[in-house]
This record gives sequence, C-alpha cells and structure tokens, in this order.
Amino acid sequence: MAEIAGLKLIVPSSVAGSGVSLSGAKVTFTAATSVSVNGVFDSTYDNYLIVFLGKVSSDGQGLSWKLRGSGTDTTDSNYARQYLQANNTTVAGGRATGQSSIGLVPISGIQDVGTHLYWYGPAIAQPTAGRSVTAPYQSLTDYAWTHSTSTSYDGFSFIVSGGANVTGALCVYGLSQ
Amino acid sequence: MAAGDGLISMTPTSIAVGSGTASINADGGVDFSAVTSLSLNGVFTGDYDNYLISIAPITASGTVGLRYTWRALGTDATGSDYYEQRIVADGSSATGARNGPSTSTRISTISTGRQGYSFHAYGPYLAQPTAARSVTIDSQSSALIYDIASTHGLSTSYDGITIYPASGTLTGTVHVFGYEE
Repeated sequence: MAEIAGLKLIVPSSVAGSGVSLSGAKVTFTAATSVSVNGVFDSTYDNYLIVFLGKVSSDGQGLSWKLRGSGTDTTDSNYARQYLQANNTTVAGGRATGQSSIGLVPISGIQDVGTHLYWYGPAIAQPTAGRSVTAPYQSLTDYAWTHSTSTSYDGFSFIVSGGANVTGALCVYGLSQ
Repeated sequence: MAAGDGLISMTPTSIAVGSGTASINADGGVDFSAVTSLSLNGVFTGDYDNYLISIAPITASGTVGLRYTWRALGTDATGSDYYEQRIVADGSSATGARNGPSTSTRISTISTGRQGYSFHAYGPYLAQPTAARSVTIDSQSSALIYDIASTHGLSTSYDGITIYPASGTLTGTVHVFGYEE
C-alpha cells in the first residue's frame, strides 16, 4: 500500500484585517478585530482542518466565523448551529437557525486556548457543514454548524465579539482524498 | 497552494518508564507494555506550535484515570497548575465536572477494554500557558464519550510529556505529531 500524507498544509493566497499577517502558511494576528483568509479552499480537497491558538482581549468574548468567497464574506442568514457546552457541572446545549455566522465560538481572555475547526465541502457548490472542538479556559465547548447556500467558497473570516480583539495564529490543512 | 505535509511525526529524543517496557518504533511512535508511567522527551520543539498525540489501542489493569504532566528537560511539571473540565455521555446521561488546581490532570479515563484517544496540545513548547483537549472513545458500557479540556497555567516551555494511569499499568502505542506551519 502506497503511503501518502493525509494532511496537507495550505498557503493562503492572501489575508486581510488590521494586525493580520501571513508568514509562509501561518496566519498571525495581533490585536485584530477581524481576520480574513483568502484562497485556502479549492477543488483539490473536499474537507479542511483549521488549527487555531490564541486569546481575546476581554474574557467572555468569542469569534464569529463566516465563509468567504472571492474576498467577500457571506451576508446571508443561512447558518444554523448546535452547541454543546460543559461548564463545571452544568452541561447545556442550544440550537439557532437563520444566523448570519456560525455563532460565537468562545475562546479565553485569560490564557491562550486552542480550537480545531473542520470544514466539510466549503469549495463545493453545495451546502457546507462544520464542526469545532474547543478547549476554552476551564470549560469545554463543541459546535456543529451548517450553511445552506449552494455556493463555492475559497476562504473564511472571523470577527471578535463585544468590541474586543484577538491575538494568536492559525494554519489551514486540506485532508487528502 | 499546498505547502507540505500537515502532520510531522515527532520521534522522541529519548523515553523513560517507571516500570515495564517501552521502545521507539520505526515510524517514530512508542510501543509500551505494562508501564506505570511513560515519559516522552524531545517531542515538542520550536518548529511547531500545536501537536496531535494519538494513543491507541491502549489497555489498563483497571478502570482508572489516564493522567499526564508536561515535562521540561526530563523533569515533570508537578506544581498545582492544572485544571480540567470534562463532559461524559453515558447512555442518555450527559454530565460535566471541573477539577483543579491539581498537580497533574487527565487525558481521559481508561479501562480494561480497548479505547482510543486523540489528544490535542496547543502551544506546549511556547513559554505561555498551555491548553489541551482530548476526544475519547471509551469501551466502558460498550461505548462512551469522555472528553476533557485542560489547561496548565505556567508560562514555561515544555519539550515532553509523561502519561500514566492513576493506578496499575498501561499497554499500548503513543505517537506525537506536529502540525506543520
């Protein structure tokens, strides 16, 4: 059986946002209120992984993620999301439909935390699905989301909630097929 | 657009066990048998920020916590700096709990059956607090979800990790991968 790498590091064609820079394939952001990454999804791979490490300037805030095509964020309200959260002994879930983003994936303002985000078929002209697995400070949150528009997207953005900003870095990987 | 392989095998520079046996295999993973603790040295470097630690299959001599500590230059970080938040889905029951500060924390639980763990380590080599997240399939009650998010509060760079059962011994394979950047 031939061995090939199952995960491929993707170099964005460009990034956008104040305090956002690109070094090789690594997207770094410092005190950024929004981060946009272009040209990472294409027909080479169906599914993608984003590995994120960072923190926000104000605890309790989160990142609102959107798909992006040809340098423009989606403006529709076709996102639906389901979350599952454990905060000490409280386990809660919630669903929202008709949203303009996937929802506020929480990160910490106390220390850097990590997130794995999986995008399923963002460059395919069909509805897109996603899943995040997050390690916020002293809690645990998972998201599943869908975007129902049958459009091909080549990138994504996230906006920090509550007027806060974010400092950290991320990389995008394609899952070989 | 693709810059290279996304996951890089991190072969330990050395390993150590409390008791039992362990060896570095040809792929860069570590096979271990009946160990009371297993330490991997030199698996986190300045080349990568984030890591995937794959642990499977693995068995224990009882149903106990599978614990870890970060490790720097051959010494475990055993200060009371670890917190964990867990969520357990067992049949129709879903529960959560938080523990800490403690001198180590859990990746998950482990039992005499077979199970698997994907353990994401965010920034262990960076001189800043470290976060981690486990995604577990546990064979207790046939199938069970036991996921944990954990944090370590010191701004110290760690190049290794020690895993161990709360009691008894472990048998299995562990492999550390760096996310290329």
